[in-house]
Amino acid sequence: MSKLKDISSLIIISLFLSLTVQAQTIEKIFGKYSENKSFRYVSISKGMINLASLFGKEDAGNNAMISRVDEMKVLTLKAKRKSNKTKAFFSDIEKVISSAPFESLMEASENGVHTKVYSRVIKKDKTDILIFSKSDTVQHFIWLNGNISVAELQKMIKK
Amino acid sequence: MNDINKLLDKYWAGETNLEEERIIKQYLSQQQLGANNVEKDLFAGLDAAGKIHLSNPSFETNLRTTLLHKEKQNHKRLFHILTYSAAASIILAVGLFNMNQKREAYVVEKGVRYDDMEKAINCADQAMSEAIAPLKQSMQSLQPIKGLEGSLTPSYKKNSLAKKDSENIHTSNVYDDSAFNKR
Amino acid sequence: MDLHQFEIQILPFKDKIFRLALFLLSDKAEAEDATQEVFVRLWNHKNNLSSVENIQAFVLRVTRNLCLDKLRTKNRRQEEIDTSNNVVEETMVNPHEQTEQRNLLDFVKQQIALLPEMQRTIMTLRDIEELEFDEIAEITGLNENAIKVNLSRARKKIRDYFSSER
Repeated sequence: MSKLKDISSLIIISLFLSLTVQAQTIEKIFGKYSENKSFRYVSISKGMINLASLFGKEDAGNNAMISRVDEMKVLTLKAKRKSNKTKAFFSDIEKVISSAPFESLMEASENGVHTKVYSRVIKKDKTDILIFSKSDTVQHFIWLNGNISVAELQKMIKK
Repeated sequence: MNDINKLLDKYWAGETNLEEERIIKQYLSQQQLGANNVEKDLFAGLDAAGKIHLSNPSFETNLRTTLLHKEKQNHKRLFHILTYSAAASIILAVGLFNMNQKREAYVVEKGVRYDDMEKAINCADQAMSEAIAPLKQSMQSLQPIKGLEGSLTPSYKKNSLAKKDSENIHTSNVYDDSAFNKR
Repeated sequence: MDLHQFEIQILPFKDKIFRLALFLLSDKAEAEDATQEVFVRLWNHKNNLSSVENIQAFVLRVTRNLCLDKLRTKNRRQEEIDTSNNVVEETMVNPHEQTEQRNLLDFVKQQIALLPEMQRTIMTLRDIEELEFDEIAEITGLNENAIKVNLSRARKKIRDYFSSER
C-alpha cells in the first residue's frame, strides 16, 4: 500500500514539476528573445475584462462559442529561413515543444510559408496555443493563453 | 517709471521671470498711458489670448464617441486576429474598465519598448495574418508531426509524460471526435 | 486607465492644447481638429501616462509635435498671410460691436502667426500660457538660453509690428 502511495506521489510530483518547468520554458523563450535587437516582441497581456457588449450584435453568434484569451505574445524575426539566427531560434522552440506535452493541431504550407500549430491544456480553463511560421524572409512565433476549450477549437477548425 | 522701464528692457531681452512679467502686466493695465501705447496694447492682447478657450460645446461628446469607437475598432481588430486563426476562435477580452494598472499592450523593437496599444495590435495583427495564411488554404490537411505523436487526451489527464514511444503513435485524424470526448 | 479616469486627468488641458494648436496652425477649425487628434494620441499612450512626471509638458509636447507634422505637410509660408486674415474674419462676429479688446487680440494673433514656428511656440508657451522655462525646455527640447533668445526675438518682432501698424 505504501509503495503504491509512494509511486503515485512521485508521479504527481514529477507531473507538477514537469508542468512548472515547461511553463518556464515558454517564458524563457520570450525572456531570451524579447530584448534581442533582431526581434520584434509584442505583448498583449492580462488585466482586461470582457466587454462583449462593445462588439455589438454583429458578433453575437460567435460569442456563444468564444472563450477568453488572457494573454498573447509574439516574436517576429526578420531573417532568412536558412540563417543561423533563424535556426537557433527555431531550435529553441522545438526544444520547448518536444519537452512539453504539446499536441499538434495543424501544419500547413502555402506560398513558401510553413506554419505549425500546437496546443496544450494546462487545466480546465487554461490552454496554451503556439503558432509558428517560417518563410524565406520573416519568422513568427505566437503564443496565446486563455480559457480555450479544445472542443471549441475543433469546431472552429471544422468550420 | 524707471523701474518699469528697466523691467521692460529685461522683458524685450527675454530675461524676466514670471513674477516680473506679472508686475509689468499689472502696471500696464492700471495706468492711463494714452491710446496706442505699444506695451500696454501688447500685454492686453496677450492677456486676451490667454483667455481663449475651445468654445465648441459638443467637443467633449464628440471626443468620447471617437475614443469609444477607436476602442471598438481595436477590439474588432483583435477579434479578427484571433477568429480567422484556425487555431483560436477567441475573443480577446479588452476592456475600458481595467481592474489593474498593468500595461495592456506594448511592443519592443530593437531593444526599445513602445507602450502603444495601437502599435501592438497592428504588429500582432500582421504577425497573425502572415502566420495563419497557409492554414486558411489548407484547413483540412493534417500531417502527423514526427516525434510528437501521442494520444490526444489532454496532458493533465496523462499519468506520465508523453514519450517518443512508437507504439503509441496514433495517426488518426485530429478531427476525430472520439479523442476529444475523452476529456 | 479607463475612459473616465482619462477624462479626469486629461480634459483639463483642453484649452491649453487648443491655444497652442491655434497659434501654431493659425486656424480655428484646424486647431479644434488637432486638439481632438492630440486626445486620441494620448489615449493610445494612456498606459504611459501614469509614469510621466509632468503631464502638462507631455501633453503640450504631443500637441506641438502633432502641429509640426501638420505644418510640414502643408506649405504654410505662403498661406500664412492669408490665414491670418481668416483668423481676423472669424472673430469679427459683429464689426459694430467690436471692442478694443477684440481688436488687440486679433492683432496679436495675426502677428504671432507671422513668426517662425519656434518663436511662435515659445511666445505662446511663455507669454500666453505663462509656463516656466524648464517646462518650456521639456516641451521644445531647447535649453534655457536658446529659449530666451527665441523669446527675445519674438517679443521684439511683435513690438515692431505693433509700432509700425499702429
